[in-house]
Amino acid sequence: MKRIKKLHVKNFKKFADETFEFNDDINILVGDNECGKSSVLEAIELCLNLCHRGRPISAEILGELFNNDCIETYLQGDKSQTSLPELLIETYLDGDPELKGTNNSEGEDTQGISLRMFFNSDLSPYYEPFVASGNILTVPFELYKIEWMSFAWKRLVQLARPVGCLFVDPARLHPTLGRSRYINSIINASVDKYARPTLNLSYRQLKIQFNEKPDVKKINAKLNEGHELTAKSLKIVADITPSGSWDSNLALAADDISFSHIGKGEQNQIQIKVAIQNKAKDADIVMLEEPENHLSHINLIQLVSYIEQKNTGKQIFLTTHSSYVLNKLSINKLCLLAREYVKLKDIDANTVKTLKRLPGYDTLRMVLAQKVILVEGPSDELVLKKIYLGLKGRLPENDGIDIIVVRGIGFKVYLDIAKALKHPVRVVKDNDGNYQKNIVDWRNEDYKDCDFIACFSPDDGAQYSLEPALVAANSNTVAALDKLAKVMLSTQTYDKEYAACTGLAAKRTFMNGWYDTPKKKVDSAIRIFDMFETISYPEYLTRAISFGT
Amino acid sequence: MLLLTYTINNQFELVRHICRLNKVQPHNVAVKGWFSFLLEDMVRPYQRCIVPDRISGIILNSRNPHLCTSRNGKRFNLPRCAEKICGECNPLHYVTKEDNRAHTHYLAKLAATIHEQTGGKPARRLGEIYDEVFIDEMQDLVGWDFAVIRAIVDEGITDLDCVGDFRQAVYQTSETTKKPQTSAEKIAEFKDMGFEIKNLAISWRCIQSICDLADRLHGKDGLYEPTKSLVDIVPPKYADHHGVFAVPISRVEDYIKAYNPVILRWDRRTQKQLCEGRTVYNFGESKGLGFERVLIIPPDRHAKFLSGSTAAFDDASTDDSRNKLYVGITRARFSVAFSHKGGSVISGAEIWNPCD
Repeated sequence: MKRIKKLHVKNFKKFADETFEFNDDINILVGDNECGKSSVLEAIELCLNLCHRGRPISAEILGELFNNDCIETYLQGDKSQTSLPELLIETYLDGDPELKGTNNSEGEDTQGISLRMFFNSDLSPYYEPFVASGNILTVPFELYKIEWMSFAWKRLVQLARPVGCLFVDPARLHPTLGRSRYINSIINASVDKYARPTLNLSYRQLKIQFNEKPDVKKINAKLNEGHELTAKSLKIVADITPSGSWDSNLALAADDISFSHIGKGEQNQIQIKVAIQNKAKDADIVMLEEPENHLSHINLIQLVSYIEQKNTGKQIFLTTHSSYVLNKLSINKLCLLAREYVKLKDIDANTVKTLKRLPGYDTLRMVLAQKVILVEGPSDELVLKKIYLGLKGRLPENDGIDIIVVRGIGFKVYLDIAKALKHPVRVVKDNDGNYQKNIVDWRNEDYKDCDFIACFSPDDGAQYSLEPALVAANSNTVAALDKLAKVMLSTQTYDKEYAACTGLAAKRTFMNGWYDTPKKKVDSAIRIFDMFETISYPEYLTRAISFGT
Repeated sequence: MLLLTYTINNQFELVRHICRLNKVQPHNVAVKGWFSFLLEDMVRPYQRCIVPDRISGIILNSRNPHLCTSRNGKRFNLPRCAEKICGECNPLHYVTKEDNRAHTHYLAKLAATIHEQTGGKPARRLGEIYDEVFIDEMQDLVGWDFAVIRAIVDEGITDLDCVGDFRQAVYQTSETTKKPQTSAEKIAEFKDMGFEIKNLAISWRCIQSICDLADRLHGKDGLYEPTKSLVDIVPPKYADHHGVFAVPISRVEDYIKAYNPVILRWDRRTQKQLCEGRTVYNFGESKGLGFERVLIIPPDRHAKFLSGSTAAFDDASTDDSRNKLYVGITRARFSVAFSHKGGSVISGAEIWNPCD
């Protein structure tokens, strides 16, 4: 089985010089918009298939492939022939020893393919007048050459390419982007080798039959009646030259509706399934771009389990924005494109299993957000937001702070991901009456050396959760507590029950006792969020939401 | 599986053999010429330790490309092409300066040197690709080629089988002084590398008397078993004249008229008049072919041997001349004749002098 172990790109799109290591089975590429997920897939397609999104490489495409900074550096420089930028893509492979050698940028003795695009020095006579003209606005890619070789320095040819890769890209169905050729490649991948000649032969016979049909002949007879148009015989015929092969003229149809007219979601699913099946057996590597596109949640579930079950032995690369896809296909296959490239592999096996069973959790938010606060419940989230709003006049999400309610699976799953990625994260957690045991010891047990995980909780056991802490923060005077109670409690409870308590101590006891049921907690938190009054907040919450400016 | 041989003709012959058995060449059987094998598998994958830029191809040298002759007739090696300069490997020893092509004369040396410098990487790579390597016509390999074979053997990953007949060594992959040169040295080298030597002393082509004559050429070496002919029956068409014949020079034209033999000669300059308009081959060219009747026009050394001298090839620096005669004799199925200036004749040969 042929596998990509590593990809090295230089001056390609947004990457000046970058190396990506991959898993042998599934690679789930995630990252913010514009982080280069698709570029990674494009680099692989270029290097293995020598084409870019299904199109052959031309001078115009070259301009799109080169890194802007390196073009700018060239334009700002002395523009000498040697300063012309060079693009390099190297895939380090496994499974084909003929590709082995040390002719790669690391001098490593390994299998691989390299693609170089650089100035063809044979064409320097053409560069001379170009550079002399002094009016240089871009790199003269027309004078470039492409060198495609194995690490053994053997030239490769497209028809006998050593590693096959299939790029499923729903965007390519766009009517203006060479649709028919793309559909051809889908049709081609969906039938086995021996079916192709049969289809072609039947199609040619069909065309001959057309020409022989009596109705067609009758029309043709009238076409040039009396030879008015030309002395020769003029006919309308089905083109039976070999160039009109079946795959450029036949189309896929689902329930008799042509493929390009069926729903986008269905198109997407069919393409992906055809690629995974790969009856043509010419693909070692399948690349999927955002398989969740156009799919309802239920259809996505079905598609992901299809990918999980039906993929036998192919290496898969997919980009996604869906936590569901990530969790279901195994979160430990995550490849994160952030400021640096990180692979999530050393994650607790139980966490992986939990998320496969409960894939609905927002793990991607956790992975992608720069500033994350994990909280136990919606009340914590609401109060934190209110504090931030009070301080900054805007909600935390506007400043890239993502507050995630951990809900049923608890902190562990999220923190295991953070731990494996060394991703900074803040935790706001109840001490449940014992700060030492539930906060200090809890943190030390699993996350002792993870200084990027910060815990926020009151150290007083009496403030066992959010509400007692709020009460404590507003108990300096009776007036302060009354103000808090007025906000948090419903009018009825305040008037009938709270008002009946006299003295600070009794009022505090009532307040703390009131919040034993979760329902009331959320109601109160919503009231705090909507209030116009100013109350005091527990110090640990203020610290948790304050990111150094 | 990899099949290696020297000449293009032999590569075609191997593919033809495979297709006779299997219709198509299976994807797991590769047939390569010796130079492309050296370049693609033993040199390019790891060439950067000696030659930094990709070697663009090969340049066929008929002799040492670095050897020059000065005006006063002295021969010397170009200093800028020395193997090492200041202790560093010099790429120009192996490739051309202009277009980075590898000299075939030094290609095996380059392969062996790369192998050594990389601690055996080329041979290990080969072992990962192929389970078995066969080398056909191995008698054509010489000098540094054996260092390459030794590299493959030393890695011990690939099964290696070599076939050939040293007595037919007339092409050589390069003119060199590097040992082994002679058949005896080559066999010793194979043995030293741990090869098990198997003799196939049979002939499907020549009748026994022709085998016997051919065997005597290398008899003194003591390396080869007597060849047994498996041709039992001489067809009636050839029965009246079969065996080995010495034809007096004056009767050569008559002999040709009588039997229409294929003429074998040293090179194009030999007996131009006689050869004009007749089927004729140089010894080297005739390799691999077979003819019912053969007439050899022997150069001096061959004539000496055919007159019965056992020392005819003793002062020759290479096996070339002796092997060419061997190839010539063994082309004949039923009769081999040679022109004879007179005097004694090698035993087993009959003087053809019919009084018509």
